[in-house]
Amino acid sequence: MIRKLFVLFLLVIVGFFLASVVVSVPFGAEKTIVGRYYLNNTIGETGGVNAVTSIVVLYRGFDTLGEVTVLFLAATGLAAILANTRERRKKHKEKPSLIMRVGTDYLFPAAIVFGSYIFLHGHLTPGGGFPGGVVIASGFLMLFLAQWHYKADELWLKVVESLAGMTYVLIGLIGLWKLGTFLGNFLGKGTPNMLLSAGIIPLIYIVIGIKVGSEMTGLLQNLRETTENE
Amino acid sequence: MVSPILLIAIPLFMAFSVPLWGLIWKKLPQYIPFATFSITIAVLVKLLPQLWGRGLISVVIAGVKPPFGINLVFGPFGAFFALIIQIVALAASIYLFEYEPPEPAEKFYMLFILVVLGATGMVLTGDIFNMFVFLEITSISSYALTAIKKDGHSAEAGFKYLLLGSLGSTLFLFGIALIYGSLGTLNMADIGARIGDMNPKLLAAAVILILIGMGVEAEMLPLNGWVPDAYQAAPVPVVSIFSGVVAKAGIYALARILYTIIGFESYASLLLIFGILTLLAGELAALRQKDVRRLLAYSSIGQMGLIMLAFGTVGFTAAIGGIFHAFNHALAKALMFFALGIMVAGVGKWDMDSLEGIGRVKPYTTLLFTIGLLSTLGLPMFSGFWSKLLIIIGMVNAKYTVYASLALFGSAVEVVYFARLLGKFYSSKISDSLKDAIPESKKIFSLLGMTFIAIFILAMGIYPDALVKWIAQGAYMLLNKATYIGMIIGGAIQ
Repeated sequence: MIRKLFVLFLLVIVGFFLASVVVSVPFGAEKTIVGRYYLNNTIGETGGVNAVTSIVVLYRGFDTLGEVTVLFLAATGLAAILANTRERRKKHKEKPSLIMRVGTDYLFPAAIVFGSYIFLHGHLTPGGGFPGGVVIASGFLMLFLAQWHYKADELWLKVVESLAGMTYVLIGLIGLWKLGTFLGNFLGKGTPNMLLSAGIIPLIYIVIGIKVGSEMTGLLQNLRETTENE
Repeated sequence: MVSPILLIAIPLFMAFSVPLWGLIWKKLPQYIPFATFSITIAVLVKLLPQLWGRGLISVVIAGVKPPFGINLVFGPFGAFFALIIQIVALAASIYLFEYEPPEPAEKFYMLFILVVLGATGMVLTGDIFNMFVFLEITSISSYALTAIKKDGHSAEAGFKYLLLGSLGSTLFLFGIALIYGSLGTLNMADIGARIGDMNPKLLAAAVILILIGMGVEAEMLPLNGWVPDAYQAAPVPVVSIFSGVVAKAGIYALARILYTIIGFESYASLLLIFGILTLLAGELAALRQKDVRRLLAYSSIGQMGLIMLAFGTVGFTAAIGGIFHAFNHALAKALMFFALGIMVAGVGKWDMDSLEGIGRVKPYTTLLFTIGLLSTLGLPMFSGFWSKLLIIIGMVNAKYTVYASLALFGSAVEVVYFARLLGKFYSSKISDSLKDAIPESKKIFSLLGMTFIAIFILAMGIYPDALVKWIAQGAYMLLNKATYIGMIIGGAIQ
C-alpha cells in the first residue's frame, strides 16, 4: 500500500514537472522551418500532390526504410519467439455461420483490390503503403476467422516479403548509382495529379504495400496458430 | 561508388535476403552474416583513408540537403565506432560457423544482422529522429534475440529488457519531440547551432529524457536491470553483440547528443555522477556472482561506467581514453564470451565451481579467456591498460581527483573478483563436472578468430600509438562542436 502510494506520489511529481515544461513548447506554431519548406516545395520538387507522402517517402525516406525494417523485425521477432511453442489447447469455439463463410468469399477480393488501390494512389490521396498493406492483411484475417481450414502458404509469404524488402533497398541503390544519392528520385516527376507521376514514390509505396501485406498476414497466421488446436 | 550509405544498405539487403538463400541450401544462411560483415569491413577500409585531412564526409540521402532531408555523417568519431561494431560483428559471425543456432535458425540470422545494422545506423546518422529509428531497430532485435532460446529464463529476461527498453525509447522520442517542438528541426548539427534559442527549462527536461532513453542501451545505473539477465539468457554470440555493439552504440549516442547538440558544459556533472555510480555498482555486484556470465555482465556494466566517466570529464585525453576503452572493452568482452562458450561446451554449467580446473582440461581456450580478462583488467602490456591510464590521467588533469580515485577503487574491486575467477580456472583440483569433458575443442574457425583478437589485444598493448593517432582525430572532432556544425551546415545552406 505504502509502495503504491509512493509510486503514485512520484508519478504526480514527474507529471507535474513535465506538464509545467511542456506548456511552454510552441507546438503547431509557424516557426517550424522544415515544415514550411515541405509545404511550399513539395509539388515543385517531387511532383507528388500529397505532401505527407512526399515527406514520408522522399524527404525522410530513409526513416521510412527504417520503419519498414522495424515492422519486419516485429514480425520476425514474434515468429522467432512463437516458433515451436505452439500450445495445443482445446478451446470450445462456435463454427462460423454460412453467411459469414459466403460473405468473406466475396469480401476478400474486394479487400485486396481496395488495399492495392490505397497504396497505388498514395502520392495522390491520403493513404499509402502501410495502410494499404494492412487492408490487404485484413482480407486474410477475414479468411482466417471465417474459413478455419484456410492457411496462407508460408513459403510464398516468406519469398514475397523478402523480395519486396530487397526491391526497396535496390530502388535506393539505383538512386545512388544514377544520381549519386541513396533513395534519389531517379524517375521523372511527371504531371502532378496523374497516376504515373511523382517519380519513385508510387514504386516505393507498391513495394511497401506488398511487404506490409505479406508481413501482417504472416504475423496474423502465427498468432492464430499459437492458440488454435488443430 | 563507395559511399558510407553502403554500410547500412548492404546489411539491410542481406538481412531481407536470408530466407531466399535458405531455399537454395538449408545451411547457407549460416554464412550470410560473415559475407555481410566482410563486405561492410571492406567498405570501411576503403572509406577510412578518405577521412585524413577532410574532417568528415556528410552524405545526403534522397538528394535533399539537411535540415530538410536526412544525412549520414561519416566523421572520425562515428567512423571509429562503426569500425568497432563491424569488427565485433565479423568476429561473432565467424563464431557462428560452428555454433548450433537456436531455432528458427533463419530468423536468428536475420535478427543478428539487423541488430548490428541498427547500431551502425545509430553511430552514422546525422539526424536525431533517424537515430531514434535505428535505436528501435537495434533494441527490438535485441529483445527477440534475448528471448529466442525459449526457456522460461530467456523469456523472463527478454520481457524485462522489452519493458525497460521500450520505456527508454519512448522517453527518448519524447525528448526529441520537445526539441523539435521548440526549434523545428531534427538535424543534429542544425539543432546544435540553434540550441541557444531553446527555453533552458525545456532543454533540461529534454536532456533528462534523452539521457534516460539512451541510458538503457548504454547500461547506465538505474536502467541496467536487464543486463545480467539478458547476458545470462541470450546465446553466446549475441551476448558479445550486446556488450560490443549495442552498448557501444548507446554510449556513442549519449556522447554525440550531449557534446554536439547540447554543448555540454552544464550537463557534464550528470554523466560523471551516473558514470561513477554505474561503475561502482557494477564492480561491487560482480563480487558476489557465481555464474560466470552474470559476473561478466556486471563487469561489463562497470566498464561502461568508466567510459561514461571518460566522456563526462570533457577533456581531450579523457575522450581519447573513452573511445579507446570502448574499443578495448568490445574486443576483450567478445573474446571472453567466445572462449567461455567453447569452455562450457560439453559441461553445460556456467557457474564457477563447475568450471574449476578448466585451465588444465582446455588450456588453450582458457588462455584466450585469460588474455581478454587481463586486458579488461588493464594490466600493463595489454591494450586495456593504455585506455584506462588515459582516462585516469584525463580525469586527474581536469581536477576530478575524487572521481579518479573512486574509479581506481572500482578497478581494485575488479582485480579481486577476476583474480578469484582465474584462481578457480587454474586450480589444481578439477571439478567433477569436467571429468568427462572433451579435452580441447575442434572448432577451428572460432579458435582462429579468437586467436586473431588475442594477438591484436597484445599488439595494441605493446604499440598503442597505431590506433591512438586515429582515435585522437575522433576525440578532436567530438570536442569541437563548432567544426562539426560548420562542416555540415556550411555545406547545406549555400
